[in-house]
Amino acid sequence: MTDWDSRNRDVDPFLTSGDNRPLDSTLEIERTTEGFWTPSALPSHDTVPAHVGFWKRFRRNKVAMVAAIYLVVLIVVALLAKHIGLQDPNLQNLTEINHKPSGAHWLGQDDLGRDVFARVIYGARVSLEASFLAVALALIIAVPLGLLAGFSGGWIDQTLMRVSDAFQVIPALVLALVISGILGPSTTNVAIALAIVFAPGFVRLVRGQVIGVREETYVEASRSIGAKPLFIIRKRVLHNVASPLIVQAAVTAGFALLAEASLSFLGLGVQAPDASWGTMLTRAFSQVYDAGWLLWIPGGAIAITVLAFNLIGDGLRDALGTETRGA
Amino acid sequence: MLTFILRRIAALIPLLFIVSIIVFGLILLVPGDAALTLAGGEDATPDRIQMIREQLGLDRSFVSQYLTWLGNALHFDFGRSLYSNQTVVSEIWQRIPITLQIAGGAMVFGLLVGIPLGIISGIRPRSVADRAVVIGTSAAIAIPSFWLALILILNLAVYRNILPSRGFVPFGESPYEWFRHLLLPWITLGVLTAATIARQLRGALADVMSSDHIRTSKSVGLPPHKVVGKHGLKNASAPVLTVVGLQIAYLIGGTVIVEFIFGFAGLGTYVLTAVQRNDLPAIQGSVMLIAIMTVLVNLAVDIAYAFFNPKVRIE
Repeated sequence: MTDWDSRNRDVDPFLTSGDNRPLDSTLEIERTTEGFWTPSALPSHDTVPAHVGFWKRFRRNKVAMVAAIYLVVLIVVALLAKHIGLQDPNLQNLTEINHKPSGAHWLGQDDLGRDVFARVIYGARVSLEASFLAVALALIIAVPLGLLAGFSGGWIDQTLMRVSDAFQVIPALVLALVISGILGPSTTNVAIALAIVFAPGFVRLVRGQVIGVREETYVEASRSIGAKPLFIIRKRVLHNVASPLIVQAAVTAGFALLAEASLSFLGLGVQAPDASWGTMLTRAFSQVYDAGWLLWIPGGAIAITVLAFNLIGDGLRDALGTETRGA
Repeated sequence: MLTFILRRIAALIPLLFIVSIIVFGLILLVPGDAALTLAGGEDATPDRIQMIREQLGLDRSFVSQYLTWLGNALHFDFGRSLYSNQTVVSEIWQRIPITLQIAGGAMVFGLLVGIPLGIISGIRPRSVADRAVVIGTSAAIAIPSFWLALILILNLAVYRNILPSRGFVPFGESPYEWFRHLLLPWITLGVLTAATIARQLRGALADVMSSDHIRTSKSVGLPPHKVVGKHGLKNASAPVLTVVGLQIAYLIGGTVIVEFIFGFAGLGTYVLTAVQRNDLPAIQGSVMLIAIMTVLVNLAVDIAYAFFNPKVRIE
């Protein structure tokens, strides 16, 4: 959805090649050289492993850097929430209901007089935990299946592809809603449901990459000198699959955050009194006629964080040069 | 063309078969003793637990339960809700029109807004108008649609009394009120569709506009609106059609949240209520019907695609 304009980016995708090569020396020279044996790869950028000079290229993309810094700060603050002198996020103060922001309460107080700032930070914990867990689980399910489908081909591949088609026919939100609802409301169950929803996309991506790489000369060469399949997967294939997978994982983490917020907004995620950004919106919405301003903070947090994930995904795509790799 | 359509329809049968296994397999996710959990946990009366056990045939094997369910589903019978005595199909049937009105209107909104924006920015990439569209659509994609709904309600219904915040008025009762009540749901759902269509059209159009035959049409002195309309848009329409197909699943899924926020008794709130009450037959029936709806709409898009692009038919 967002890859359409990367060709107009300020970061030149061609930086992936030539000019970074002197930096390679420390990194697996064997792999750098093997690319030169593939004439077809010359104009494309398979010649240099994507992670070489990656950090240098990523840092050059200022927007992605800002997004990454924001996310790191958010993660650190959320992890240390108990130790940075926040107020108790569940402490009610019924004499100060719906109070606007003040010196004592930076983002104001909600309908039970609880500190909104503390709740946003604790909510970040829940939201980030759910989205990272969902992506991690999805990868654990999908990567082996994708490798299996791509390598074995035949009926195994056909079956796996038809099953992922079938999962994708059910609208993502409906599937996540139904699975997490049946498992019972909790953050972990939301993450499991989202992992099931996202896994088919990852399976498809890995499979496509494997099929693309499988017939490459250097994989064939490895095979012909008797390299074991697992060695080929680890040394030759995973390196090629990794870049588009990382990009996809970053973007999916943003989707997961959004989906978690939607599901907890509908009452399926973390349960009261604990906060997540979605449940904060549900409560704020119930107060819409008394304290509509409460809607801005959790919603803004969701929007900014989703945007950060997407921008990081774009930055990773440029830095890893996945677009030119045909992903 | 006819063989193409028949082949596509034939391909749907195994797909829907796998979907049916997934949908019925949801019962395996019910924690603990399924009959007990579905009856409402520890507070349930033994009678009710027994009734649910019998109604769903829970003491039989999974395969036997599935085959019974599938046999009924082929006759469009998804059993009865555990909470009302009505059949799931009749309950869903009453609710589908509202959902289709929301999703359909959102799609119209998406096309009406997305296509002009896509054309404006696709004709001249990197112009000021293009930059504005790119930034605007990026923001529209990052903003959660349900939050957008809340903010719209806050500003247009609560602070200013311009539009109603809840409820549905049938078209037959008052077309004007019908429109007023549906406008916010349409915008809420349609913004993302509009942004996606605009981006896709921009990309496709920018590609086409830089191609040789467009340069030729320009150089022979064809007026700009003809260059864009006759040659540019025609060639850029295929990727847009694909996006429209993909958006339909999103719109049907998105109605769950929109119906919840605006208090519409459509298919989305039906699924939500069924999930909240652990009403398994209702969950399975509605998810299956939603999947069938998505598949059929995608079939229609595929056929339209083949109609515009004969190359597809041969593959």
